[in-house]
Amino acid sequence: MAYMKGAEIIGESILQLGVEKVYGFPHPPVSELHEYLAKKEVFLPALSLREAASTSLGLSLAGKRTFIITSGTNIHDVQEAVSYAMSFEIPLSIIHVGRSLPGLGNPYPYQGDFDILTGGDFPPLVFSPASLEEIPLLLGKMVALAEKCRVPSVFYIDSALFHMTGDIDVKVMAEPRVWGFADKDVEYFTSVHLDVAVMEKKMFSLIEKFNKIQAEALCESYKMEDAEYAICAYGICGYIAKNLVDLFRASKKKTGLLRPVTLSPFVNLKERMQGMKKIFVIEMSNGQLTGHMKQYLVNMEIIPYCTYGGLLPEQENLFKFIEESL
Amino acid sequence: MEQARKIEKVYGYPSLLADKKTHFCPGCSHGILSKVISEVIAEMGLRESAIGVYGVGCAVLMYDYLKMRGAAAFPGGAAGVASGLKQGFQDKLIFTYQGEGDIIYDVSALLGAAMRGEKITVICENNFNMGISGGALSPTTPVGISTTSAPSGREVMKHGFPIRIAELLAGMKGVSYLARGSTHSPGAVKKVKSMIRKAFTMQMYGTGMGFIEIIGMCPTNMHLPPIEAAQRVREILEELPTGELK
Repeated sequence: MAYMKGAEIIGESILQLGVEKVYGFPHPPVSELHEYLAKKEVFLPALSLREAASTSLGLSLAGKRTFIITSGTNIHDVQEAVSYAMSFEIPLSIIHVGRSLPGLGNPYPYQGDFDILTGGDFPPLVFSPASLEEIPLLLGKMVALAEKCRVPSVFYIDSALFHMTGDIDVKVMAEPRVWGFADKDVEYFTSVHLDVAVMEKKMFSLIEKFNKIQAEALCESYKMEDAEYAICAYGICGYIAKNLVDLFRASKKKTGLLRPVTLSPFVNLKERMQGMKKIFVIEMSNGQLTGHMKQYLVNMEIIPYCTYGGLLPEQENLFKFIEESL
Repeated sequence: MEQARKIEKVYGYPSLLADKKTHFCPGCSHGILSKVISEVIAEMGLRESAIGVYGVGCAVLMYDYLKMRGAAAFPGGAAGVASGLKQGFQDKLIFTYQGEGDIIYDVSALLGAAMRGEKITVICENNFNMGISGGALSPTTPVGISTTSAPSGREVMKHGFPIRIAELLAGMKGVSYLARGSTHSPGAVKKVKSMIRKAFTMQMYGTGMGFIEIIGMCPTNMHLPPIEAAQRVREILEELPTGELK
């Protein structure tokens, strides 16, 4: 056990996963992770995040594990590489720290990238931890799944958890696999298919793969067995919501928590939310998770509680808000 | 008794160049350079070791013509992808082949590789226009030359000065080989071949990054027959130093 920050736990997990090189461009709030990796001789400087994305794509093409580290709007700098990795069918892992948006915003916690990370035809895998203990466990699971399915992946952590400290025993493992040019059967990687029929075939093959990936969705279901009211939240909001469920249960209100652990693929909501009287969504964004849920739960009452600007939802305010609506 | 004739093959189709119809226009330098690169790699016996990274634009399908491992990078990212590949495969020959428009799209990948002295070779074909975009103004289009997005010719006050790519890298200590060649004549192509061979050799001996800018012809977008396009390039070269710059 060691007293560590979220950033250090991620750094230690990256090292235990056997990563030898991470290219990055320092900026708050992720510099602490760079510093941890630099002390272990793993960090290499890039001139921009776009460059870091290209070098990381190259490392992955060589069959090496690596990570791109981004925060806030920087995610846009690496999306081209994510799209290419998707087309090449190679893993490419990203640590993305959610900070307040839009623009440079501030380095405080926010979850405004949900739609960006999970949107499009072929979104990357997106894992979101809710506690420090979960960081090594989920990081290992994410890397293992991304390498098994040969798809890019994003570890989406808000800046509150990234800076939180605790006594943690970091132990991460992911079975090594072969991909990229390390796979001797592959002669070249391209995303260009000028023949429409070839492009269509490629798309069908990716769609088939994505349909299979749906079965890998993870969530935490807490006291949902007999719940009449559900709270849905991810990341640190999920951590806060869990305490809230206990508070309501103490006052005989049958509430439960559904915490999506993977935001892509997303858990089957219809199955999980059947029979709920009301669903409360807690998020640090302008209703992005709520909007996603409304697509699947058309006739259900979904009530959002959103915070903005880098403010965490406070338990007392949440309790009052939900109690008034029950 | 009649003396037996000894027949020796002195020239043939390059073994590493795919025997297929390419999408390059007649007289285009990409066709010439795909042949030159494939010859150098075959002559150096590096086929198994070589991995090419190709930029977007006319060069994007190069993996289909060079019979060796290759990957297509996103705009401007080829030098970065090559850097990552080299970190993963330190004993391999890693080179990029990019147009000038692609390389300038994100110079951070080029300058980052140069800053760290990545042991890769960057080959940049500079034909002064964005070929695949129908001949638009490129960052290197000389003043006065007409393009689809500057139909009256490049004007300094309007479009700025052309960028000299090789000179961007001249002061960077991580670049151990820097050269500018051309493809406007057989003699010039021969010099380019020796530049590529030298850069590849230096990479395999583990010196820093190698960069070769190769001036090319784009007869289609110059609206000139190939021979006149070559003549136009010769005129442009009067203002651009060629040879080994470092």
